[in-house]
Amino acid sequence: MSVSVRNPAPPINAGPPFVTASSRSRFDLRPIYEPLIFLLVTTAAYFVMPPNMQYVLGIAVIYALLATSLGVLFGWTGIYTFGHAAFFGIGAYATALLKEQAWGPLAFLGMSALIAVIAAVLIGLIGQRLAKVEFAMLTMIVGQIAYLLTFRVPVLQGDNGIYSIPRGDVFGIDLTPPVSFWWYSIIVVAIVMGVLRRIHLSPFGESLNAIRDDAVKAAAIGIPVKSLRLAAFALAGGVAGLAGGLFAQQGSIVTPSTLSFTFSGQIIIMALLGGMMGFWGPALGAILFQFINALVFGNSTHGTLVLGIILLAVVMLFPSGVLGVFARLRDLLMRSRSRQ
Amino acid sequence: MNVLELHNVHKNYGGPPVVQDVSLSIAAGQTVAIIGPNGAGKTTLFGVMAGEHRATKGSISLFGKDATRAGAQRLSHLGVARTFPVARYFLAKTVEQNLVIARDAHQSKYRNPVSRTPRSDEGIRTALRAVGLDELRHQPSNTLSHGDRKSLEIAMALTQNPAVLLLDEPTAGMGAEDIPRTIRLLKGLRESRPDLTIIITAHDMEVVFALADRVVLMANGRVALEGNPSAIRDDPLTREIYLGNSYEGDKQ
Amino acid sequence: MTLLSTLISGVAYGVPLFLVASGLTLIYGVIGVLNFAHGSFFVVGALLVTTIIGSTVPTVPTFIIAVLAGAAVVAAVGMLTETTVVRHLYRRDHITMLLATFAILLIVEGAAEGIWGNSSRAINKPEILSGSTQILGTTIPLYDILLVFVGAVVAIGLFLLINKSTFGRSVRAIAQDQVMGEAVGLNTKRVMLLVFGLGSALAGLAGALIAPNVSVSPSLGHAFILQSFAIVIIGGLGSVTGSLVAALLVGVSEAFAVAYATYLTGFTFYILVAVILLVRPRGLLGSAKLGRA
Ligand SMILES: Nc1ncnc2c1ncn2[C@@H]1O[C@H](COP(=O)(O)OP(=O)(O)OP(=O)(O)O)[C@@H](O)[C@H]1O
Ligand SMILES: [Mg+2]
Repeated sequence: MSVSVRNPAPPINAGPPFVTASSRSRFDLRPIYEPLIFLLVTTAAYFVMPPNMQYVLGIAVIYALLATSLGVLFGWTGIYTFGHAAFFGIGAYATALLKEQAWGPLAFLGMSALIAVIAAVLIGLIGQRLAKVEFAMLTMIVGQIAYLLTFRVPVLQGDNGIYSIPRGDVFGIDLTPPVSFWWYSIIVVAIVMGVLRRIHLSPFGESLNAIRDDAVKAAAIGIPVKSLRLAAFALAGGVAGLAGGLFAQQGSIVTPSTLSFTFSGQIIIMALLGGMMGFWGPALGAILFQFINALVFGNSTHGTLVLGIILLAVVMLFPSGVLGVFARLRDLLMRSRSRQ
Repeated sequence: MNVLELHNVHKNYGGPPVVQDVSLSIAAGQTVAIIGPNGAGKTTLFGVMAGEHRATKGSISLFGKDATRAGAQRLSHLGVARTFPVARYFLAKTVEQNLVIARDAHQSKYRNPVSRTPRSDEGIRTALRAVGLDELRHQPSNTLSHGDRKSLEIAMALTQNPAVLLLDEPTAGMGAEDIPRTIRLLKGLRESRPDLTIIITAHDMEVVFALADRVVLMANGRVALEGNPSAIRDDPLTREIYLGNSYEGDKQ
Repeated sequence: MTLLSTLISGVAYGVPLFLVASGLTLIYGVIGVLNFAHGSFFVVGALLVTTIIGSTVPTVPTFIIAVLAGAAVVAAVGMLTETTVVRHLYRRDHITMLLATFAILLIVEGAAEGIWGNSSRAINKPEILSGSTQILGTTIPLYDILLVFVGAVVAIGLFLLINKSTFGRSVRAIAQDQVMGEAVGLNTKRVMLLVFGLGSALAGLAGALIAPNVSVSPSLGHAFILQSFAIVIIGGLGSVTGSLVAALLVGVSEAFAVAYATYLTGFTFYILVAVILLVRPRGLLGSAKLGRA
């Protein structure tokens, strides 16, 4: 007897028909207008800033994408990873190594994402049966291996890094001037953020949240926990890789520091600063972090020590980040208003 | 035809076996109650039947096909729905959203990562009404009472149109008025779906007698007795097992 | 090289790995905290010894004192970490703890860079220990024998401590069930602090012992974190016996690769990890809790 012969259940207690009244509109436009607002606000800010701050913002929006990809893991799915810089670095090195190819910049980004996805799938498969904490350790190991490889594999040039990565041109527009590169990068970032937002709101995204909240229950109701975790890891890896490609084009140089575990820590701090749980939290955190960094530390590459202290302070004092603080303030306001 | 068959199933958590040598055949449409003192291994056996745990020894077949290594997700799609002794659901969601997730998981909607926002439908409202949660559907689920949480979990299972329903202590924590309603709900389910197989565990004998066609008494991980409810009730061994346990319970 | 000398150098290679990994897994098994900063504690142990010994050729007592001082200071750092940070986060979720210890890793490593700079340091062994001896016709470095000896002492000591002492009994009880432990009147707070200190001391000891064999710099920790994490994973998180087995396996296979299959040198480790993870994803000894190890 096969399973499909099962009878469909007749309705239980068939009641009167009713109109489905969902609180949400049929078409959720958030994946469209939110990235658009993001694009407009950052661009407006870009054009009123002095050039040195424009430079900071240019990197910040790339990091915003990177931090969001980390949010896919920490925030959406509950996968803890401490080697996320590896995927960013893999993407950056992919674009750097392929620089001789006569491709358009978008093709480089595609390749960066693709190679990072392949790496993420391989790591995800090896770690598929590990528990959360062990997987976190594995990601750190992998991140370290990727970092060490840049010194062992001759074409990766060790500490010197890879230079003169071209920006190329898109639709006939030369991306070398900073302003054209701004438009190129913010449009790419906004589009990818929109796609991620759409994924976040889809049943796939809901399933990831379910896995995060209770993996046993999720499996019991038929959510394929393992393959969705793998999919989330691949998605996050791919987006981080794409951000890495963008970063390589932006700075035209790639060095091992893009893969270092200090940088992995920095990505975590950025995402945590904004708040891992909300969709826009990590992006907000990344931009905030870059500006705090630039204004307070004069944009020098500050030490591991300071990073550690910031991370510890955020974890212990504001575990849900800036968005969490906003939410708490709003709660307080509402409560005091209702008391009056 | 038996829906579910267990052959010499063993399970341990790395230590001594918690379920030992359990063999059961459960026919379609039966309601079976698994009873036994605390720690007898009922929940563990449920976990094995639902694929949460893999049997350390023995085999399981579902609809005549081997399902020993199927895993929870696969079994869920084959029609096995289960609840947990302490209700498990998604605390951050509303009551209705929990059902939407259960339905979408069952219909494999997650396969489309860019589809539209999941919405409620008639099946979900029907399930909510059946367990008496219709009015609370927009409540955050973490505000529910203990009994309502159990009801929510049953409703999630109902949206999945199961062939085998595993209910682990479905009435634990429910108020006096919710227990009869749950019994009525399950009875109604059996009437409307004669082929639905229900397996429950319960410490509440009222529930067992109201529903079960057959009772399996477990003790120390083994099946001690099996038979119709009144035969189990009248068997001296039942008394002995429960009394023996309560005696030990006093000592602690 | 003979079989025997290969074996001994492999075990000697595995001993520091075992020390680091057993401290990590001990803390995890009892307290349930994965201390990401463990690798940086290891480096602090090594750096301290380089400072104490400097460029002298130490006598045996000086060396022993230096090593013990390294372990003790690191134990203190560990206990400070427990009281200032870790203790306050037991009630928070898993991820908060991971992030906090990761932050401590960054802090300790950053501080080590600040104190000792980025340059590498090398120190001398005591004169007696820098020679070698003949066993069954093969030459074996004395320092390797010392490492093997220390490894054995620590392994046996840990076994006795956990399984035979009263302290061990409370440790096992708390590892099984913290709430129950508290309920039957154990001072869980103190036991957890001591376990954290002991685990950290093992990392410090490993660092101190390895200092004469390698060039020491704050980034020494990176390679070691990598290997000790992997050993903990393949040995089974929470199992001290598992990390012993895994560390020896890694050490011996590396030594055999060096002796008989040079093209595999440096890779055996990754191969081992990948194979074991694929074959036994829960680690060699499962994720046996400390109480049952
Ligand atoms: N995850 C686990 N790890 C280790 N031991 C477990 C685990 N779950 C249950 N046990 C042990 O297995 C035994 C059987 O437990 P189980 O929960 O299956 O019993 P039960 O019959 O459902 O009891 P109750 O009536 O209290 O619900 C108990 O001794 C319990 O301590
Ligand atoms: Mg139970």
